[in-house]
Amino acid sequence: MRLLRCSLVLSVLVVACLPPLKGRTDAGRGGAGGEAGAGGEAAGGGVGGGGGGGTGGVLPPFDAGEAVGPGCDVLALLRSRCESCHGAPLSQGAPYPLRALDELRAPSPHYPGRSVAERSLVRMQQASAPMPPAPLLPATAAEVATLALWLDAGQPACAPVVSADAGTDGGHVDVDGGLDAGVDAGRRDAGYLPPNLLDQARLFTCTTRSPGPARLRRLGRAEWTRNVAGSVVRSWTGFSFYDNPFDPNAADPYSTYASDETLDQAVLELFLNVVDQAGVQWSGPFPAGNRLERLRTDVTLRCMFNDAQPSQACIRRYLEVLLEHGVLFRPPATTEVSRLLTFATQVLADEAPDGGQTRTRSIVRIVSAAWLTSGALFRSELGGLTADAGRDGGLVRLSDAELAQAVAYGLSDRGPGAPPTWVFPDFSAPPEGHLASVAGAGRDGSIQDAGVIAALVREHAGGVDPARVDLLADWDADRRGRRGEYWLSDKLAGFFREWLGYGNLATIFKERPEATSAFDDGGTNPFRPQVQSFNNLMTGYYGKEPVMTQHLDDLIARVVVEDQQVLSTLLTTRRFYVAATTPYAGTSIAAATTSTQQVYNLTTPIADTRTARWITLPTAERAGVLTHPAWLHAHGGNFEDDPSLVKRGAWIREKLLCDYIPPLSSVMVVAQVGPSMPNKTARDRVDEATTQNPTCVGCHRLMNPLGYPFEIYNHAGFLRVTDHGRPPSGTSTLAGLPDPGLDGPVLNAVDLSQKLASSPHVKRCFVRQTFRYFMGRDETLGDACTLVAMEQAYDGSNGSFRTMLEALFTDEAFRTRRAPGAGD
Amino acid sequence: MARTFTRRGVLGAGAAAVAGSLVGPFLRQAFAQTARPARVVIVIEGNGIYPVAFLSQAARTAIDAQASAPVGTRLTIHQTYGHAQPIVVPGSALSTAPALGALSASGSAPSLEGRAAVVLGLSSTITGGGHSTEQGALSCARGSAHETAAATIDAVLAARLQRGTPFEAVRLGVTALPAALVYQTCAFGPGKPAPIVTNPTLAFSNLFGPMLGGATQQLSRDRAALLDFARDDVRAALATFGGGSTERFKLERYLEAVEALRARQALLVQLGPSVRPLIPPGPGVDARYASTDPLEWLAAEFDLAKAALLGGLTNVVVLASGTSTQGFNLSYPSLISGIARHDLHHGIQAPAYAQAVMGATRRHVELIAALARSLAATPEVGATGSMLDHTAIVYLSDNGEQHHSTAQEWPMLLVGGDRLGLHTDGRTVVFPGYGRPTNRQVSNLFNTLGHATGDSSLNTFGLEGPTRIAPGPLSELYTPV
Repeated sequence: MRLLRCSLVLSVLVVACLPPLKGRTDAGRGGAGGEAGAGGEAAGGGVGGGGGGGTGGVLPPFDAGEAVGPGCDVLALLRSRCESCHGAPLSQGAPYPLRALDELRAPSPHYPGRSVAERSLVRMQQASAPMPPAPLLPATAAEVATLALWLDAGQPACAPVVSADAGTDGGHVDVDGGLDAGVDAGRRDAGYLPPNLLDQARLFTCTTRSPGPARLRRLGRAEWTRNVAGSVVRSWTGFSFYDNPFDPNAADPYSTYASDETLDQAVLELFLNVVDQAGVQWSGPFPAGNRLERLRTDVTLRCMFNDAQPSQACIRRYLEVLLEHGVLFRPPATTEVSRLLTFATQVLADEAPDGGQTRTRSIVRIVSAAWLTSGALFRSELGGLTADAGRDGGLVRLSDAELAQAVAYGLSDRGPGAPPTWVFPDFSAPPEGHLASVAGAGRDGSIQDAGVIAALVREHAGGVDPARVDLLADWDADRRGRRGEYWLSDKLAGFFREWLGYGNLATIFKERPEATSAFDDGGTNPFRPQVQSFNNLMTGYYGKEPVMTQHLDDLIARVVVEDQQVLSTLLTTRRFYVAATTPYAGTSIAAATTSTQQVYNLTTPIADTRTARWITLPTAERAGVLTHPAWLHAHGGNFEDDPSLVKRGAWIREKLLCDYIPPLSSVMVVAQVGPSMPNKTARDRVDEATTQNPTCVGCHRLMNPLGYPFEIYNHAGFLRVTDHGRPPSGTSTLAGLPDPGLDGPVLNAVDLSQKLASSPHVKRCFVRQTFRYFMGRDETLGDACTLVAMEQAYDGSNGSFRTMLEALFTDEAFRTRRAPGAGD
Repeated sequence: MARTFTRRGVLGAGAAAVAGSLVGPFLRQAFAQTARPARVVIVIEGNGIYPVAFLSQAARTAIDAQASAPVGTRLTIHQTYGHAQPIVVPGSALSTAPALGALSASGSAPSLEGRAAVVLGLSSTITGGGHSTEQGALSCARGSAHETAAATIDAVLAARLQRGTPFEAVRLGVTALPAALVYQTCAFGPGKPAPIVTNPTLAFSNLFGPMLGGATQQLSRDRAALLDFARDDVRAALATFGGGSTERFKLERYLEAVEALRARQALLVQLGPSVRPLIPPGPGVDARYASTDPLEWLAAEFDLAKAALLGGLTNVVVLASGTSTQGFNLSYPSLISGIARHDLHHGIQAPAYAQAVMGATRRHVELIAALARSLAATPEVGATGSMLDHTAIVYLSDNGEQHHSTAQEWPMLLVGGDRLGLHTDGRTVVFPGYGRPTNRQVSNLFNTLGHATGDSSLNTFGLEGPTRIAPGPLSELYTPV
């Protein structure tokens, strides 16, 4: 079985590098020698040889000031087929670099009157000395055509397409040729430029500003759930408002992008199944569902519940309250109230005279109708634009209500003033609702004051609360009491979960999670304590101790709430939060709860106190979130000798260095590792499959060196004590990274984490990731001033994450949008 | 703007085509499928199905001949499989198996023994086993009660098989939870659970409400009024919308969705004359709807499913009994009183408990047999043979071979679908045990369903990744037709 499984495609884990050109079927490594002799100028490279020299090194960013089209294809060609030899440093005898279009446009040093590109085209078609050189495959016809088309087109530059109807999310070129507004990240169509291809130095050079497009954002799954006072975990009844279908587009890098999300037929059908449940709480002061104090204390609403035939004024008053405080979270427009009033009047007129049941049903129907309005489902960032407005592509400022919503949803999953959840005897918020201060600032217009926004961010971002009331809607007091005392708002916690990618641990299968660790007894029985406890860390099925995802949540919350040098602390802290192991000792669930500390390489019992759950791990074993079992598990394979290192290295390259790796869609070969063998480590298997394979090495040199240090841990995050008969090794040599200060030997993941923590390049990438999540879109060069402001705020506050967020939320980019242009 | 016009144009044209075709006496004829007719019914039980429940005498003898220990009185048997190649026991008198008696002829009911097959030896350890694998069983992925990892096979097949029917799939079931919807068993994709309706009254209303009068019709009228309100609201929003075309498109798609569901409501009303004769007695008439026995509810839902299939309302059905970790603890007062499923399994050594568990499985097979016979008695439209010949019924559990399963064995019963290429000719196929290179997985069975229903590209269903043993369908159970 093992032989068979390993002979199968592993394309998700092992990536070969090919350019994004249609019809491509091969790729190669930079060749030795080249044209230095008779041929002249293209010696050692020309257009050929992707990958090969084993030099590692960062790919240079695209020059985002250039135009899209054939130029982008040629850049991709250079990256995949030329740069490993014609890169930095030059290797295999390549005489000059071929990394940018200008280097192709340059005159050939050996053939007067010809450009390097023209000579490259000749060499690509030359049978006697082709580029790429043997043993690599020569250039394909498609690759030759790519370069030829570019030459025919006048050697154009590379930049995103601005399509005719992309006005609200497309880019445009400013007067000095610099791109100042990028393509909406949600649109993955032709011309989409991944933000990691932008030059990070230019992203932090403030020249001009260009805000993002005016948009509509459909509510997310958690947002609707919270707005109806629901829980994000399933109750004992099996029902959860969280079963609403408002998931983000899977292509979006963060759930906040809401790039093209709407309601299609399938989504609407599923929503109709759950929306009726939301209306019950509005059916009276003491409904069967969530109790709303607003309905109990506001006696002007009683007529709606008590009168056999409520007056129009009564119904209108009820609908105004419902819309503002239960559905829209802004004052409703007159037309919105009027339309719903007509519907509600008809519903009430249809009632049969059989008492309260009918009225409850009527109110449920009315609330459901309110939730089906476009104003409820889509949050506006249009700045008051109407159909009558001119289309000049100018700037619009978000209205008071829009800005209040942007702040509220930027921090939380709730709209401003969203109703509290009642869990006897407590409410999750005062009667005026969650984020009531944001709602108030929206109502009185003070939200437009940057100082007010900053104060609201500081108020709602997080804090310390031993009772963890923030979790009241989801967990009972016993469970909450076992969590760390530091809390973050929904969106802050969500950012770190999504950036670090550890939110779905329970869905990732691990065979023998303890394999190669000190707790590996060689057994395969899934009911051994070490396996049962590990599995319970995934699901929390037995007992009430926090699961592994929550362990990392709580670690992060403490770092962010303490708010000093947040990034470097996250990358180096050894203060972890773990589950207690003593509460269920001697019970029927002991096996599932008393060995949960093993994944942290601990053997001593963890007492049932908050203080005991905060532990400091040994210096040599862990340092920061990248060594946390949750992150390692999330970015590990199914088996201990799987290519986890590839996934982990890819994450660091893309999410911590903001560097580009060609996507899996460009992999055109059967990517696989060899069979498992008792004497082969995961590192052995990956190296054999990638470093010796010219079609793989081009991309894997971007990932493997960054992943090797994590081989001191297994696929599930356990610390290895042996690795297929050898001591575990995390050694690696880094070269050509975007930050040269990171280059050099690395001992293991602990060593790597400490290096990453001190890198200014990594810090800027962190700023960019923060921008993406909280703005809900990719950054562009037009956002440089915002990014600079964020960085300055962070640097000037001893690394305060909240101060950086304040800078973002008060920036013009947050508060203004670009109106559609003419023709859009 | 152009693309919006196109999408809406296509939608409108499609709806008109469907409505215009409703001129024949039978709805199925109206929806005569241009492709070969194909349907799938998945019956899924929580708490595991013991392999011996499906083990005929002939199959038992064949397994014993190569096993390290005889089957004897054990309920699970994969641990002692000794064969390295699949065992195929043709014509194995399936009704001699403890739970398959309903397949034999009885009175006027014809035998189904030659129209069924038993499959043993499949594994799906990616799912993790345990009390329930949640959506994992039908998705061949790691499921959990709170997170959906991948699309389940019913959703994958339904996307191809809807073919103009009003419902892409009908998902019904019973649960131990006081819930009308169960979200943990089926899924459209990652994070997108597909609900199973576990209240037969609600199911009856959803399927047939627009065709009937009374309270059922009132619920449908309420839904229609709600959609009409939403439609008018979105239209009003579009009339004054000042954003760009990309943002406008979001509202237009929403409007399309509202109009499409409203059109389905209208379509179901229009279909009333054709479907109404097939609709079984509903709540208030059929005493089973008021029963507290989930087996009675499930029986009523089988009748709803039968009417939906015969009436051409769908080509994919899921019928679930006690699936999911939270909903598995069903009680069966008609089989044993005072003991729920969880305790039955934990006391399985007691003969009465074992008999009750086997009785539940047997009742499920009886319901399947009744459905199969109804389909067998109905000629297919647009093809030769009966509806059963073009319908694959699959009966399996949502966790494998027992209450606390290892997921290393996943017994299944197949009925019908012989004209789809399925070898439902009375055979028992026993694949080599878990750990052998020739072991096969549940995903292979689902690949087989894909091939049989017209998708020859479905070779790697699920998220097994490196744990996948072999791609493709199971030749022991399928030959392309």
